Amino acid sequence: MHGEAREVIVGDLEEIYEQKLRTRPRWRVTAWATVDVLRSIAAIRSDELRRPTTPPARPEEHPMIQILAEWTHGLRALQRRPFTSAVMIALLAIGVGASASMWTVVRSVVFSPLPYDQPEDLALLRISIEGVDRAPSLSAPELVDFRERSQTLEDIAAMWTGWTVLRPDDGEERSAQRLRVGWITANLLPLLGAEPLLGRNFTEAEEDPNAADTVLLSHRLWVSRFGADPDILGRVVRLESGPATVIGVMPADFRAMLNASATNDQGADLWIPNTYWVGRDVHWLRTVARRAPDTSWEQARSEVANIGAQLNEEFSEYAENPVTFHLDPLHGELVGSVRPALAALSAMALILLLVATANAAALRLTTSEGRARELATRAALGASRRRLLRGLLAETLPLGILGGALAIVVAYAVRAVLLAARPDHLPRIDELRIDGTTITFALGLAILVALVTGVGTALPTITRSTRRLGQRSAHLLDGRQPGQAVLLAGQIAMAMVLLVGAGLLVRSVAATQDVDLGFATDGVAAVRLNIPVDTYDSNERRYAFLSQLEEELIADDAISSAGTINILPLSGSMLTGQYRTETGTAGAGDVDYRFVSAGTFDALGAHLIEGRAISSQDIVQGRRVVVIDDLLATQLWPAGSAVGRSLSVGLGEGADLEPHEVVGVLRHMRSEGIRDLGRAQVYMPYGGQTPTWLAINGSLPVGAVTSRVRSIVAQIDPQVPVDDVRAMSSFVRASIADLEFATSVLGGFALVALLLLLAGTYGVLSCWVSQRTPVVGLRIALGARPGQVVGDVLRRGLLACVLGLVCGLVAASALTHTLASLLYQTSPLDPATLAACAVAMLAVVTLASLLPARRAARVDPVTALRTE
Amino acid sequence: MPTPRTPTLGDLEQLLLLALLRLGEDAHGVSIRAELIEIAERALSPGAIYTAMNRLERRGLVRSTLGQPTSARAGKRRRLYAITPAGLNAIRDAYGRLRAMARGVEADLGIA
Repeated sequence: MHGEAREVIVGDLEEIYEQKLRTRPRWRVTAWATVDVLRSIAAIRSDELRRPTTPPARPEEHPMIQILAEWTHGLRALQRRPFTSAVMIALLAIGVGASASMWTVVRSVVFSPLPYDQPEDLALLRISIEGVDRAPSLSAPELVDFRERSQTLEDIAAMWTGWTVLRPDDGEERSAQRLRVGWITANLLPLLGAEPLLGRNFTEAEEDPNAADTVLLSHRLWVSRFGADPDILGRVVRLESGPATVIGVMPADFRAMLNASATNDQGADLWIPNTYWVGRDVHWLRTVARRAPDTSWEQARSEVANIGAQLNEEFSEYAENPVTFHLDPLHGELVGSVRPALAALSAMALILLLVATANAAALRLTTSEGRARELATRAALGASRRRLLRGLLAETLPLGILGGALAIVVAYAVRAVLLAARPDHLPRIDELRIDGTTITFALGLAILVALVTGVGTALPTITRSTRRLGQRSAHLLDGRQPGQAVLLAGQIAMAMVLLVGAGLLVRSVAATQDVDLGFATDGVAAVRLNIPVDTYDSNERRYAFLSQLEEELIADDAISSAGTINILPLSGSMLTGQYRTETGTAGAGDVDYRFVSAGTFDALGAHLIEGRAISSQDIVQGRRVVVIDDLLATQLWPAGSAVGRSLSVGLGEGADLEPHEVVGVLRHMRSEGIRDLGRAQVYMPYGGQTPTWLAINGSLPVGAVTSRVRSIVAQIDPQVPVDDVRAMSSFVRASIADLEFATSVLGGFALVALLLLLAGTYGVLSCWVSQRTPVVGLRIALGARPGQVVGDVLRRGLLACVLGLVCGLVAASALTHTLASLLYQTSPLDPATLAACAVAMLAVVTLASLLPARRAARVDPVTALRTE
Repeated sequence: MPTPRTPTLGDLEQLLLLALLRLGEDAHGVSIRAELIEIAERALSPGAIYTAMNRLERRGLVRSTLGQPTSARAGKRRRLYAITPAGLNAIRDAYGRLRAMARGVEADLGIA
């Protein structure tokens, strides 16, 4: 309110106030004064609001007030079309959210440095042996040699992970626990730049096999098993290898990531110093090296090659199989394997963003008619083009900001899902962080998309608006909006790419269900037993334990059979050996050796084709018998039966082969993965080999089997730890985990894209129908049948669909070869899948067109013509 | 024959213009308000009177000037209002139209 007006009105109020005070009590006058002040303010405010909007050039108008007015006008415009605005925000949230999530993943996996000191100087030292695939490990003597001889590598450390057992202390009520252990060199922690939270690191002296055993606990173990005991240092724990003194606890976030899959598992539970320093030809240590300052990778690599050549000359172990040494920067190793997956995911997120953007643009185009009129009116009232643009900005920016904020929520949700799923080939999932960069990215992208769709689609309208004002009617009758059709076709094409990819993967998954595994998956469960080697030091004792366990298990009615096997199919371990027939046919390293007890074949649901299974008599009497699978049988003895033949078998290289009698032929079992046939198998009587898997066949649920096994084992010997029992079907699923993950991801993207498409097609056609209502009404009044009208709408939708389909199929065919590594028994150009996806797309578009088509057919000509 | 139209006056605006005629030279916010309360039994806040007079002035029916600071109002100035010839015409027409419409229905209105 202007100062002068206030002065006058306040003066009036005071004058009246004084007059009244002469005749009335003060309190009444004060009450009146308060009321009248409020009423005055209200009168002034309502008067101000009622004033018509003044033409632009008002000198005393502050630019800030102008901008504020535009913003409120913009927000009010959004409020006036709540449905469209909500849809726009949702589109932004989906498209930008997917992109922001991918950005987070790429950033944490590829760009953020590893959590070690100067990680760019770390590299993996590995070997390859002619004829054998690259093994990622060195032997201990080789490690020592490199340490002594290398100048370019200032320090080299090593680690290996395995398993050990933590025994309860005397009197403790716990059971023994199987734990992941990392054998590390004393210099590993300093090399990585990690320090224990409590206590100290190992000393070099503790690497001596004769030194007293020491152990470093992980934070997780310290909390879960020892209750975060502050006096843990110096405590003696009972490991499988003997008592060891706790010398320290590692921080909660420490993990030694020396291979890609290790970045996602929980890491070791405890660490002990490596005390195995012999065996030049036993390659088992994962070796990490730190580059010396001011050396390049080329220098380091050539030195490594030189040292490798020296070693090959000096030592006879390399005579038959020379070894080549390689140096690879650590970050590249961890990331390299995952690059294809990341590229694929990023591409899918980009496609989704494009679909969402096209959808939003199409939506804006449909409402552009009404907006054109509004803009034209404002232009006629004197608004400059800049003001019109500013007004548009005021409308689209809030959309962008809200959409961006919602996209961040979407990104959080995706992160939660990824953390729960922990896919193997997206490493460093725990390091996924949504921070300032992600938020900036999401908001920026959302605002950009909002601006492009909001202002971009309105620009032609603004430039033409004043001229078009008079051509309003003609505009309506002109049903051509090529922009919308192109956008729709584009969306369909992109959605087709995702759909075809998902379809191919689904087909592959279905194909894996039809594979003949050679064993049963229903009703079969398995558990890993860790029979301690010190207390069970002979084959007889181990077998006695196992047969007692098996007997007591089958005593239960619900369990039909139980048997032991050293390597369960699909359990990830491997044991190969040699063989030789009487006629001299031989092989080495290409058959799997399995040691089984009497009940194993039944327990696994394996099929015996000929002869008999291994019996307990075979085991007890130590008979030299084998059962071979049909692959080996047809390979060695294609004509006639294999039963009764003699096969010489033996483990390890250079082992003595002893003749065994073939007593049975078993249907082949897929052991390495369900997608590969795998090697042939040879089954021999169980002779105490470890690992030891127990297979159980019955009708009990897995949890019940676990508790049954645990209670029986506890009765026999409580010192034997028992892992969780798992159903055989879970092993099968784990072996296709990558395929399943890719299917869920691509399927999810395809589903979202289809939903967007459905909504978008419906929206576009719906608005098109509304705008054409007068024309349709006219046509119906002139005698057009409802069928023709419906056909009109459908034709419009399907035309765009066909165009999009063709482009989509072409694009999909070009891209599906990237999935080739995942596909199983499905060609990347599988015609059945392509056809099915095309049909599905047609169905979706038809469905989306139906409602608007029906609405068009129901138009009442009278009301339609009246609105015009 | 259509005559040039004078601006239409609202109910309150008519009362205000009549008050100006009654008060003559002395018309300012407080006196106008008192007149309205006493004769027309309409109580308005000073702010409402100010804005209404402002509207009339914008339409050219009223003219106003800022008075001298008076000690009665602790030094604040008054706004003094006077009717313009256009305003006089407008209120004359309004009154005339009202009377013309009322002719013949005096009995219903309770006028002799």
